[in-house]
Amino acid sequence: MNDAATPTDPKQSELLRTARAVVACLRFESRRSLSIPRLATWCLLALFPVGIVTVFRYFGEMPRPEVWALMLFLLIPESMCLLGLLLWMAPHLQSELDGKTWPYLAVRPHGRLIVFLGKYLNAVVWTALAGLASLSICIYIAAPLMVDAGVMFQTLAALVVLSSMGYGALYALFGVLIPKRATLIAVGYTLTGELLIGTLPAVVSEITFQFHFRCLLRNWVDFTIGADETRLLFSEAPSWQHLAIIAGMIVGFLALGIWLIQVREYSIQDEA
Amino acid sequence: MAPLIELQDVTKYYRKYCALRNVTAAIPAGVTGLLGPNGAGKSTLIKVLLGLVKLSSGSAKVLGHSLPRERFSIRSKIGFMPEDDCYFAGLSGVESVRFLARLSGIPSCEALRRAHEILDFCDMGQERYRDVETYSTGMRQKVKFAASMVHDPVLLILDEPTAGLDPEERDRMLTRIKSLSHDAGKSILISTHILPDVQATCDHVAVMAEGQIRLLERLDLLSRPSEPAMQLRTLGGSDALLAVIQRAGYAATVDEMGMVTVRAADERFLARIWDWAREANVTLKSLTPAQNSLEQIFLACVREASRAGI
Repeated sequence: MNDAATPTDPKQSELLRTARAVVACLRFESRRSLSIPRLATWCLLALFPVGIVTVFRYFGEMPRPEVWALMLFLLIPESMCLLGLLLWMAPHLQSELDGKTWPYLAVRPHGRLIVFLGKYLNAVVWTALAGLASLSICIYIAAPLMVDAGVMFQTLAALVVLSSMGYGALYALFGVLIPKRATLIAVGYTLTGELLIGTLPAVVSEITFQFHFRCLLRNWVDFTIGADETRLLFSEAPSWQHLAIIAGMIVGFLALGIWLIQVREYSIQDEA
Repeated sequence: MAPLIELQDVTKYYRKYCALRNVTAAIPAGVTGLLGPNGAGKSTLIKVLLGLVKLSSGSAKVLGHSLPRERFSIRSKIGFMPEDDCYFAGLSGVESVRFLARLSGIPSCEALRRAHEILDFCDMGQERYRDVETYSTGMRQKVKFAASMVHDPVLLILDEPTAGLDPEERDRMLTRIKSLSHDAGKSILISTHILPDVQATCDHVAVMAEGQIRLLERLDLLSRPSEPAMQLRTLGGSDALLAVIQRAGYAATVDEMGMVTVRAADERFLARIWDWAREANVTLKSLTPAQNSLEQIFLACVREASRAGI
C-alpha cells in the first residue's frame, strides 16, 4: 500500500493533482448523466428551438433575413441554455451538498473545489452541446433564408458557449450560496434579472449577461433592424470590452462560489 | 513522540447549542477508541478534525498541522469512513473506490491498481464489479473502509466501522483495523458505541460526555485496578468461599455471575487460596488478575459528567 506515488508526493505539483481530480469528477458526472431520462431531456431541449424554427420556416410568415439572428439568439443562448443550466447546474450542486456522499468528497484534499468545478464543467458541456446541436439543425433548416449562414452559425455558437459558461457560473454561485433554494433563486433571477432588467432600455441592464450577449450579436452579425428604436438596448462599446466584462463576471462568480464552498459549513450528518 | 491530535480549549457552537466545550486533549499515535453516549460530541469532534466545521474558539492541530489554516495538508493525510450509508449510485465497488482515489489526485491507472489492492485487503471478491446499490450492509462497509484508505493516509478516522455487521464480519473488520495499525503503522481513531470493539483493537480510549473529553488514557492502564486484585470462578456456589476469604481478613465481593473479586490479593493469598477452596468445599474454575471493566469506566465517566451538570 505504501510503494506507489502518494497524493502527497512532492514530485507532483498541487495544481496537476487538482486538475486531474477535476477531470475525474467531470468524467464521473458525465457518465452519471448518460441515463435515459437525462438523454431524453437533452434531446427535448435541443429540439424545442428546432420545432419553432421549422414552424416559421415552412408554415409561418417568412421572417426577414435579419430577424433570424434575433430569433435564434432568443431561442438558443437565451432560452435553451438557461433552461439546460436550470436543470443541470444548481439542482445538482444542491443535491450533492445535501447528499450523504458530501463528507466523502469534502474531506479529500481540495474535494470541495473539485466537486464545484467538476459539476460546473459538466453542466456547461451538456448545455453547450445541446445548444450547438440545436443551432446546427436550426441553421441547416433556415440557411436558404439567411444572408450569411456561416457567420450566423459562428456568432451564435460563440454565444452558446459564452451563455453556458456565464449562466452556469451564476447558477453555481446560487447553488452554494443558498443550497436549499438554489433552483428557485435561479428561476427568480432569470425572470427578473435577465428577462426583465436585461431588456430594459436603461444602464441597469448592463449588469446582466443578456445585455453583453446582445451587444456581441449586434457587433458580430450585420444587425441593422430598427437601429433608432433599439439604440438604448445596445452599447457602442467594441466587442473586446463586452468579452472582457463577460469573462470578468464568469471568473468573479466562480471565484466567489469556490470561496463560499470552501469556507461554509454544510449540513453533513446528524450528531451521533 | 508528538501527539497525533492536539486540542486546546476547542469549543463549537451550533447557534446556541454547545456541542464541544473547552476540549483540551492530546491524542497520541496508535489506535484510539472514541466513546460516548449519543449527543456527547463525538461526531462534532470528528467534523472539527476533518475541517468540515469551523471552531467557535480554541485551536487544534492534526498531524502537526493547524486547523483550519492547513486543512488541505491535513486532508491529504487523513482518511474518513463515515457512519452513514453513503455510496455513489451507478458505480461498482471498484469504480467507487477508484473514483475517490482519483479525487485525491492519483492518476487513473494507479487509482485502479490501488482500488483492487485495497479491495483484496478487504476480502472483496468478484462482487467488487457489481453495482454498489446491490450490496449488503457488510459489503458497503467494506467499500467505505477501502475508500477511506485508498490514498494511503497517515490517520484513519472510522465512524462506527462495525455497525450492522454480523459477528464473523465484525471480527474480520477488527482484524483489518489491527493489521493496519500493527503492520502498516497507521494511526486510527475509532468512534463507536461498541465497547468490546474498543477493547479488542485500541491502545488508548477517550470517553466523551456532555461535549467534553472526560477521560483519555491507555487502555491497559485503565484496565489495571488501583490495587492488586484477583478474580475467582468456582464450580457451584461461591458464597462459602467468599465467607472463608472474608474471615481471613481480605476484602472480597461476589457479583451476580458468581465471580469473586478479592482486593489486595498478595502472594500470601495465592499460597492459601487452595486451602480455602478445600475448606469451603468448592472447585476453582479460574483464577486471574482482576481487570477494570471498560463498561464500568465508561459509565462512571458519563455519570460523573452528568452529575457535574456541565
